[in-house]
Amino acid sequence: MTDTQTQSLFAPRTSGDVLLEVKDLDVHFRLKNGGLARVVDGASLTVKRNEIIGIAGESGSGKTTLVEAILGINRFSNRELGGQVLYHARNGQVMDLAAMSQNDIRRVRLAEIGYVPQGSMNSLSPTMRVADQIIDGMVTHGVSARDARRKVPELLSRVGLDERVMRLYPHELSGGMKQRVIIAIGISMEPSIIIADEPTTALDVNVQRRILATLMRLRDEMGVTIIMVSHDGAVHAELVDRLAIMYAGQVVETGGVRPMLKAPLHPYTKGLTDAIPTITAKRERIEGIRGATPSPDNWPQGCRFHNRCQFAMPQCLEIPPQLVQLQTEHVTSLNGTETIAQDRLVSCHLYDPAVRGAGND
Amino acid sequence: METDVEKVQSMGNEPPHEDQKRKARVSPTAAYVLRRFGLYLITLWGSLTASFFFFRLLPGDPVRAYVAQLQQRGSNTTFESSDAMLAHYQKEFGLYGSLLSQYVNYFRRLFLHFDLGPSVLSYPTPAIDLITRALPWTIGLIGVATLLGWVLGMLLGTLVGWNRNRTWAEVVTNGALGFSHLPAYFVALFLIIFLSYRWRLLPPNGAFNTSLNPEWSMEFILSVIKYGTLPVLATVIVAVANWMLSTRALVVSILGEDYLTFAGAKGLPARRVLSAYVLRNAWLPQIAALGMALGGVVSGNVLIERLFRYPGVGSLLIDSVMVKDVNTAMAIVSILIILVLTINLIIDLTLPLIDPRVKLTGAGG
Ligand SMILES: Nc1ncnc2c1ncn2[C@@H]1O[C@H](COP(=O)(O)OP(=O)(O)OP(=O)(O)O)[C@@H](O)[C@H]1O
Ligand code: SF4
Ligand SMILES: [Mg+2]
Repeated sequence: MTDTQTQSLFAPRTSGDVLLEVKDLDVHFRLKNGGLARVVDGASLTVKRNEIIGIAGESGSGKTTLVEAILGINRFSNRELGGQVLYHARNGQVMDLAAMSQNDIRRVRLAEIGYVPQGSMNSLSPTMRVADQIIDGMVTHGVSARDARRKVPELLSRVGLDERVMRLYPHELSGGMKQRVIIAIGISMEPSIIIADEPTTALDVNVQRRILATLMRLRDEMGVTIIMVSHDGAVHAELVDRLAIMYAGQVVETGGVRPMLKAPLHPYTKGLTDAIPTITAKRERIEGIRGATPSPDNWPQGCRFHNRCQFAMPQCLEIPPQLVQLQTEHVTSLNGTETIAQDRLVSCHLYDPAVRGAGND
Repeated sequence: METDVEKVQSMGNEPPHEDQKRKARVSPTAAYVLRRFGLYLITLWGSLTASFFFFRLLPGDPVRAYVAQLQQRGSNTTFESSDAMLAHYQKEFGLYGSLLSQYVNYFRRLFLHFDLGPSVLSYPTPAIDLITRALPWTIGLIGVATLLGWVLGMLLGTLVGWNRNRTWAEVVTNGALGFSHLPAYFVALFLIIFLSYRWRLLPPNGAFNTSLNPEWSMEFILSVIKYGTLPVLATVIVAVANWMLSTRALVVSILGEDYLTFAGAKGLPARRVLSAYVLRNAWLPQIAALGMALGGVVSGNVLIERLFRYPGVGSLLIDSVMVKDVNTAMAIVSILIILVLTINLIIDLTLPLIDPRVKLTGAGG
């Protein structure tokens, strides 16, 4: 993939209407010692039709837990769910995925939301042929076994695989091929959304680029919305339209990717963008974000980032900030850049004159 | 040589270096079969040799004891002296000369004439005849008990593994844990005491109603089933508990696999996930485990047969050891060894055909 191709993928296609709204989502796990791990805790996120939205954040910030909750995947019996996941279906119907029974949300999966899970190296059953693992998903959604089988070669070629791959077992595939098979399964029912959780980790750089290019091509061909989870800032910088930053189980900032990278508002976002190595910039020392990551069963009071924030004020230790749209037209970012505040949501007291002012009294 | 798999490897449009680590996987089936068969022959020879020397080096001289017994009955008329008589019978039983020449002779007779020598137990009946009479009973008993224990254990283990967070599943698992530590003969005693002496539901010993003629009649077959129930049950109860626990452990680990989460993310109903993803990945390793457990089953069965006075090779083995019938005892052990090793060979050779994960490299166990 050349750079010009990458550029063409930037063509803005965000049509603006809302596809998925995550509202105040809580995913808590009751711990054996009686504690509560609030892995996702009041997270909010809006996904628009046809966009690629990136979710970034350090390990343990709750990215996977968030997207699994969107799909209603419940791997642990000690889970407690709160909040809403509103899905705007193609027929205009709005449904709350978080309130659905397992049997109802089962029909949403693959048909409406395709999933490329984290750890896709192990996401195919070792004792089933590739074709059978593509087919059974389609069949469960009402496609006849014959039609499903006939569609397999086309799906494989769409993700850049030869149709002979269908007869192989997972251990006969390379990592990149497995990832492509997973993507082929993800698009088999032509869903509105594909959630890709770290689709390129554990792959070498060349394969990474090809996989990402494949996803972009599918977005262009199928008009599918992509939620791309990655802690690789470079992936986001190159591919996504909008970005959501997660910290300690919450979304702390969202906005268009380029304004956000150029003019970060949240101190944590600034820390992340400083850490993205750019090819153009002179090699400077990349400074990580100082301080230890807090633990889900004991988030800090007030702003969860306060123990690591160089801008922390006394109020930050008391009052938890909310993710809000800025009231002003322009805003000065932490880089000192003046930027348009439209479409930027941030959860930080620096941008709330009321809280800021209270501290000066 | 480029294998089929390698050809397909290059079909994903990925750089070739990803495939390099796979080159070593050129492993033709023939090489595997040959290697596995060689291992089979070596194990067979090793264990037959070991049991040969084991029985020869047991204290006590079977021929001397047998001759003394004959002399007591006063039937030494054809011999000039008791020494001549002793020499005659030593030759008959193959117990003359050095240990090494006995060893060579034993296996020459075995492989050239399939002759395992006469039995001491009921001379001059060949040992092989005694075994042929007893073997069907043992195979029936072990076969039914093992298959039943394996199938039931797999089903129950899958059930409790799948429902691992339910109270009832925990109760059943703990019950199985208790049973799995019981020796089968203890269960057998318990069954005999209650089911047969106390409640008189089933006969405590024998293999069929001896007033019936052994033939393929309904009556006789029903009698065989009735008499076989207790010994089978004694083995099955313990076997089910063990298979259940190992299957449960397998299933629980499979439930934590990424491919199970992904199967759910495709929208498959739980039933389908269980049958196509959990069971399929659990039962294949359990087939391999079945082969490995077989040796234990066979030896455990000796005591069970003894307790139920079942006319199988287990009972015969104990009887022959009692009178130091080296030929019969050795023959039984040899046949059981051949049986167990051959079944393991068959399992190891067929497993790669049905389980794609089993690579044709390891010799297996
Ligand atoms: N069942 C559970 N019980 C308790 N804590 C849990 C449970 N499941 C996940 N967690 C906690 O949630 C956190 C991980 O969340 P998650 O996997 O969503 O993070 P992530 O942002 O996807 O991280 P990564 O970048 O490493 O994938 C960890 O701190 C983990 O301990
Ligand atoms: S609210 Fe305070 S502590 Fe939190 S990020 Fe903003 S300035 Fe830092
Ligand atoms: Mg994750």
